Amino acid sequence: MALNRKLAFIDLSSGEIEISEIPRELREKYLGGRGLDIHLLFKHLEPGVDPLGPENVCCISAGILVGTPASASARTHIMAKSPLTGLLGSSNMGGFFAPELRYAGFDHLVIRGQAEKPVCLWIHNGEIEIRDAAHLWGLDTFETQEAIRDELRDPEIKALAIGVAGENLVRFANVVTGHKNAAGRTGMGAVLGSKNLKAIAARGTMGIDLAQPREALEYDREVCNQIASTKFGQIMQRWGTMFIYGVTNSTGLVRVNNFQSNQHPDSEKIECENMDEHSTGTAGCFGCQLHCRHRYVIKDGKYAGTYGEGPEYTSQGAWGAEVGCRDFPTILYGNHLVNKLGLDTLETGSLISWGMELFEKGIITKEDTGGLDLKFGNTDAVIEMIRQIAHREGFGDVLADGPKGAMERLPAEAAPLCVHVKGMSNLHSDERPTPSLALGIATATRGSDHLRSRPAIDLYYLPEPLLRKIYGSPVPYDGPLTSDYGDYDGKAWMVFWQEMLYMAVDCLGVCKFHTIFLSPNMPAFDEFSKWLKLIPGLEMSPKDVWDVAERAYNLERLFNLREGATRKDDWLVDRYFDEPTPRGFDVVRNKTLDRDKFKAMLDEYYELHGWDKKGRVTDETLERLDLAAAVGSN
Amino acid sequence: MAKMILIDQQACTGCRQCELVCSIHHTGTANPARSRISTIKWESEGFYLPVVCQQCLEPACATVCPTNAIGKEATTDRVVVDHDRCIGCKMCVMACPFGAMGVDTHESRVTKCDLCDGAPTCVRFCEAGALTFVEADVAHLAKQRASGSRFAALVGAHR
Amino acid sequence: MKASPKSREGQVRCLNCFERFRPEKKAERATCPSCGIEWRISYPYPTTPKIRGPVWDHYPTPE
Repeated sequence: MALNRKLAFIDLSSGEIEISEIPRELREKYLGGRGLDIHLLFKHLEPGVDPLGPENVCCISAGILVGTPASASARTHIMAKSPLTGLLGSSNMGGFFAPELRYAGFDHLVIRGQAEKPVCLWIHNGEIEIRDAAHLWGLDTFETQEAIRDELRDPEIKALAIGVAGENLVRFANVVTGHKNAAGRTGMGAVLGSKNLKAIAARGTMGIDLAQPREALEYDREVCNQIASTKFGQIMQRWGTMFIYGVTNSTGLVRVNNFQSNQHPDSEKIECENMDEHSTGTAGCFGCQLHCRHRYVIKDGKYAGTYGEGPEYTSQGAWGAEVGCRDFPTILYGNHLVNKLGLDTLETGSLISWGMELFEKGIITKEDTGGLDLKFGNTDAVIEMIRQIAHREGFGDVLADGPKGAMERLPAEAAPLCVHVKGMSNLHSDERPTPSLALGIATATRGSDHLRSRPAIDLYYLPEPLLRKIYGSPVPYDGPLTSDYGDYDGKAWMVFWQEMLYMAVDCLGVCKFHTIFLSPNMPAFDEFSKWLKLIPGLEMSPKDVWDVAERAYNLERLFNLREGATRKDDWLVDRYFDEPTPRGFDVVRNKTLDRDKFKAMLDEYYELHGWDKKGRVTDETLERLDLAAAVGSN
Repeated sequence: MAKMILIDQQACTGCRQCELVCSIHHTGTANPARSRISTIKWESEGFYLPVVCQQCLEPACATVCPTNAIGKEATTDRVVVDHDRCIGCKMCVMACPFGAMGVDTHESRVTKCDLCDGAPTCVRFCEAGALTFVEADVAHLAKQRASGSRFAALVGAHR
Repeated sequence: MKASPKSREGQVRCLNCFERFRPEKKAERATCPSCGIEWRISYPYPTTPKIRGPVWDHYPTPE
């Protein structure tokens, strides 16, 4: 039976493990992955708890299509209350852990309580054990995974692990599988660290039944052809997400020196083409034909000989222009170090760049940094700060508390310079010229986020008929849609549509790059519906898939409202409105966001979602999405 | 002339799509554990190697089989197991130096790559080009050409 | 397997004016015929050009 994977409740305080079926009705309402996780989290977590305390609940899952022939069906989702923002913590990662979890018989884990001493979960063919992990505590993320394989004498075991950052409860510590697949955002590594859960290992040989195996295979071939034939697909196969930098920096859409510029002309040394020098080949996640990450050995300089995987566009920015650096090996090493230590590359880079601006302006001095010359462009300081943050040493201990925590420990002048939403730092993209992207990060349910709501194709100036074709299905839309990414009109709908798309993708457990994210010629709701029919045998129209996404998305919204979020949090820091972009092409230069227009766009956004003017989910929407009971029970 | 699966190790990206589609083609379920091909990975070195039955010209599995159930098929050059003769003693599993002969506990029989009767599914799905299905007698030529190109580039003979 | 859509082969799209144009074969620089911005070109594949970035010396700066 295609949908026979189990759900396990694991109580680390008592050691009790309860395994149960996942009712079909839940699958029809939430599918799986992120959608089912928010249902479980909303149900089992009390509001108002300490995210680093035993009452926090952590949901870890494999999407409903993981391990099956839906392209790049590799993704793990992790969800809990975030120690970084105090709101929804939610993060996703690729690699090979999720398929193994499914082959071991499980789709969802709900982890509660707190182990007395470091433990590791061992999941194999229908069974779950809690094992002692004291000997793993202190190891980096790679060492932990290798040690588990050695101890259990099976090189095919896949594991996820926290690094020392998670052990030290750095508020944006991540969870890593493999060398670089990371559930980076919102500090899920700190949640596991607070539970003394060092790692989860899985090994499984239990096959997943497919409703129509032959047809599923043929359809996979068809979809793979589509994906690999796009120009985007081909560039990804060659240089990965770093190609984006060529587009954004050339235009004037990157944050430089924290927020002080939106473009820099000495980009040659950190453009993606530099990857060729250090690359030893590319690698892909489970079932993926885009193999968009590199394997590399740093060729020369201080860190020569280091093996790593990646880096992504985010790391290119974090260890590049955001911190004033123009050295490719620093990008490669910074990327490697955060993966090893278990830190969110984005948050770490962004906070260090904030620290550098504070240092530049004299708001902090060498006294605060323990003598470290925290200047933009000081590559040694960048690497040193990564280490300090992971180990909570020196100034690193301040930044380790994330934007909100750090602001409490720094002079008042520091706060307005921090570039964040809801206490989570922003990607190194500059959204001042792009209202749609700005709206997306302001309203995303996990705080500042570029992967849950970004209409990235807005940057491509696509012709209106194509935009109508994409954004007019499966739910009809008659409002404005413009090719111009400087407009405010019609952007609220684009953001809404993308939110639903990405939520669906996260329920399925496939990769966002195989959907309408960076290319308009990719799978979307029609394809999802077909996959669901051929693979788990669920009859769901594209609109049905949208409905699942909308339901789950509203639960995420309700989660945040329950934890105290308000309309005030769906906003961007003043810098976006007050400091004009200094450089770039005409379309991006001298731009700020307009407060009135942004407010009107946000009003429209709320209305489209079926929320009131304060951003609260209306009773009518609860009814329509069959959520009244879920909310009522709390 | 018979064809063979040619493995280009350097092209392999470790995605294991081959394992997934092989298992689906042969068993109808998604289960890399039942795949006839495995992509062995050394994560810390970034070295990935697909391993599959090499359809040996003098198969060790055939040599040790006590019932002569294993032999070469003339037209395709495949090494084939006759399951009517096979007694499941698993000597072939022990003998194969590549680990290409496996035991499928669901089907209670030994299993190996059968080249999907002439259209290997793994080859069909390998995007990275690490697996190709080529005429055996000219399988080495592509590599000779590639190595020749490197030499030619060195002496400036071609661009 | 690595063929770009036939009609767009060899073309790049200017990041300033969004017009498509075809750089000279294997050229490492190309100027957009529409708006005059000069670009550095790289080649993910031998016949597939990609805009690498502007020629910064000729980048338009505000007066």
